[in-house]
Amino acid sequence: MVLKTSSFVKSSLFLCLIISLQVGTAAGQKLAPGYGDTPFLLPDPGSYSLPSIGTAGDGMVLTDSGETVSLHSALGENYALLSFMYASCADVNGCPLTAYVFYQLKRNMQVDSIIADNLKLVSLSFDPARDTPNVIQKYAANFTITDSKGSWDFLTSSSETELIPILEAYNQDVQRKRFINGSNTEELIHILRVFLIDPKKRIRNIYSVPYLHSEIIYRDLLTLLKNDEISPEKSREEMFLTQPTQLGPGDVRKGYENKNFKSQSNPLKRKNNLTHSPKTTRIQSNLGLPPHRLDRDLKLEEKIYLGRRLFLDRRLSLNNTMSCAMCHIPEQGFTSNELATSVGIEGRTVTRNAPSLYNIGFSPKLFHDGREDSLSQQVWSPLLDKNEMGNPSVGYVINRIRSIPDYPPLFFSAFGDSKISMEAIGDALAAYQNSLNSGNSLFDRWYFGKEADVFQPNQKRGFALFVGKAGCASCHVLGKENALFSDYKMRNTGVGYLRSIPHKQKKQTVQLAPGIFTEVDYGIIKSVSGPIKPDLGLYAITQNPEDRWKFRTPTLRNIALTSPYMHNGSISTLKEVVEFYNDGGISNPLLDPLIQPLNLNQQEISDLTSFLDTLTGSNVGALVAEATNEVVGDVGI
Amino acid sequence: MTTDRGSECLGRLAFIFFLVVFPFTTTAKEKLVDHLGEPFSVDQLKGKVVLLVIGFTNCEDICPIEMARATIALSDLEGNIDLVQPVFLTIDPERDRPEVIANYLRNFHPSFTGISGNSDSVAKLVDYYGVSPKENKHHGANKQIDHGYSTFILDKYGKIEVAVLPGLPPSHLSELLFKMTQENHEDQKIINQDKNAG
Repeated sequence: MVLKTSSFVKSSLFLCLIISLQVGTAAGQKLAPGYGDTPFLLPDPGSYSLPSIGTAGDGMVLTDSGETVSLHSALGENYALLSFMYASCADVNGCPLTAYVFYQLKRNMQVDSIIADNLKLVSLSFDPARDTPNVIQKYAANFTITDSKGSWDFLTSSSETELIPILEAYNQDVQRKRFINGSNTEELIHILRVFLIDPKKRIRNIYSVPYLHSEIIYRDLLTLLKNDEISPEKSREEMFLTQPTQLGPGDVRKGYENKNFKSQSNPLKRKNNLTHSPKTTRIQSNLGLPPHRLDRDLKLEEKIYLGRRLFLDRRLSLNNTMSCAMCHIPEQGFTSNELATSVGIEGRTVTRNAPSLYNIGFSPKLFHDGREDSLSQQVWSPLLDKNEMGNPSVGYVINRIRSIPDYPPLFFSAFGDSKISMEAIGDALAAYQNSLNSGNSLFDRWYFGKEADVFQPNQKRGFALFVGKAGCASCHVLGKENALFSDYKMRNTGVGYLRSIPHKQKKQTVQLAPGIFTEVDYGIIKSVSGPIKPDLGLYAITQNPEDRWKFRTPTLRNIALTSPYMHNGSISTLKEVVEFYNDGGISNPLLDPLIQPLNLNQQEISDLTSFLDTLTGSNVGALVAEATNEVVGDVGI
Repeated sequence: MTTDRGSECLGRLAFIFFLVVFPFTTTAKEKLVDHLGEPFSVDQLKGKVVLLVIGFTNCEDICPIEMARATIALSDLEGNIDLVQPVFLTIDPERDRPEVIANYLRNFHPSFTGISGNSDSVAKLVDYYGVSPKENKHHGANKQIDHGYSTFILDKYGKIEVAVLPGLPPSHLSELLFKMTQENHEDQKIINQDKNAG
């Protein structure tokens, strides 16, 4: 057996043969560089960078054993090289070129463990009718007998319906060649493209005919291994997890009203270099919270992951501009610290402040007016409101999500069914919102955890006022074993009433910079804004005149992160909120009887505010990181 | 009495079956011919590792490349060549008569056997190997037939073991064949030992 000695000579001979045969044919063409030497001098690995080009699409595929899996899971946990193949492809610079280059890599895997351990070759068939799992098994058999190190997997799909969204996601427009009379031939035309995909399922390079060469791919792999390893983002992720009060990108607004305010905000670094690993970043911190009913769901993590992606996906709005997360901004307390009332698509005015979503799963009433009681149903309100995300119908949203190839596999893994329904969308978004539980605050550790030394004297005095003289705990109630700081009842504090009465103020105070304010005439504001509509709160739901201007008591957990305050965001700081209640709210005929002047002095106001600052959960950094690290859609770099 | 009648009936049925079906099966096999014009049966291939190339002699693109690759791979096998039976099966029996195939095979490895026959029998056999040829009507005067991957390795029982991807070099193909003959060899050795022991 003289195999190895002459194989190079024989291979060269074979290539010459291909060339001579090709030249002799009508379609004679030059062989692609992939069959021979590299087309140009290649740069050293690591001397260049390969930023993400976009997110690698997903969809359902079949393995050679006939198992249905998502393409992402078939690509594995490491780097992958994905090609599309077509058995009837007769173009020597088409599928055979891909096979030749893949073979060179597979060959290298036999002697080079770096490439064998870090790269997976994957070929997905264009032709589900011909390439059944049984057939692709025969392709895979090329490497069960010989060259068995490293992996080259062959995939197909159950039907063209499953395949087409995947092809679209990779811009693999497949067309059948047509006869002059317009009827289709059997031959498929596609542009050869091979995709280098990283473990986070982002495309890092795309190879077309002139660049599909094993040496180029090898150097790219080494470059990625080198660059991704020393990525600064890695330490950033650790920072999020180890310093729970660090909220990451975005502006920490505390003290912005004072001249000596110093920005603590982080620069908006690239967010796309962190893994999604819900299981590692979702940190349970339940101290002070009631037990959670969803914890028994076996597919909970999958649902949360899907829900989080939907939550962050701007394609869920009519014009693809707004996600849920653009009003419930994770790094701004899952509300918007910059806006009193939210702004929807095309700058449309929303009448209320975006409620924070921290611990929303414990709230029996949803929305400021309490009109919903289930998160799964509640999600449809903002999706369909013409001033918020603006979708015209439920069916429109479902079809939109169906058309995005990433989603069917995620629905499959979360619900055991890739069918996308109104219920499943609601359940997934609800699962994510239910996961935003945040307890184990300084207060919880002191009060429930009996850690005596964590609370300062002013915070203790503030708590005494909270449950005593100031009477806050009458509505923001505490239990014996846990505390949600809300009775979730509908109450009139006069904030809504104030908005309904004719405006007497002629000027509005506007802050320009830390500690610098100016007054703007209402006439000017009116000329650039729609009229402020009265908001009757619970009355809109019950039609009972007694319910005018009643709004839900909000939880006070994480209250330091969720400015501005009140249902319309009309108060900017916690101190002003305390002052508002100290004054006895806004007098009106239906004012809640519990709202009374409190007669607190400045020290007491300050102590009470200090206490409210202790209600920030220990895991908020992790929850923010989990959301900001997610890469959704074709985001590029 | 009833049993006698029953057995007589069965006997007649068996006789009729023999008369009708047996000649049919034998002629069906004879409808395939090799490149020398001799009747050919798939059973002849059993017991050897088969390198099967499916194509047609007028093919302008992939078939000659596949045949050339097979030829190089086979010559690499040297001493083990006897354990491999290379076969060229046409998908175009109307044009590829035995003599046309014989002429075509002169360009490639001498151990190749060509298979043609009547259209139906050839079509059945081609279909058996999972290849579905379609005429490419837009090609012009020299009729071209599109088909899928066309190089296969069959085990000694005639089952497809590997579909060899186009583009993989001849060295890979010869290595595959070598490994498969080795397995075959081992089996043969066991059989021979058994015979000797017996």
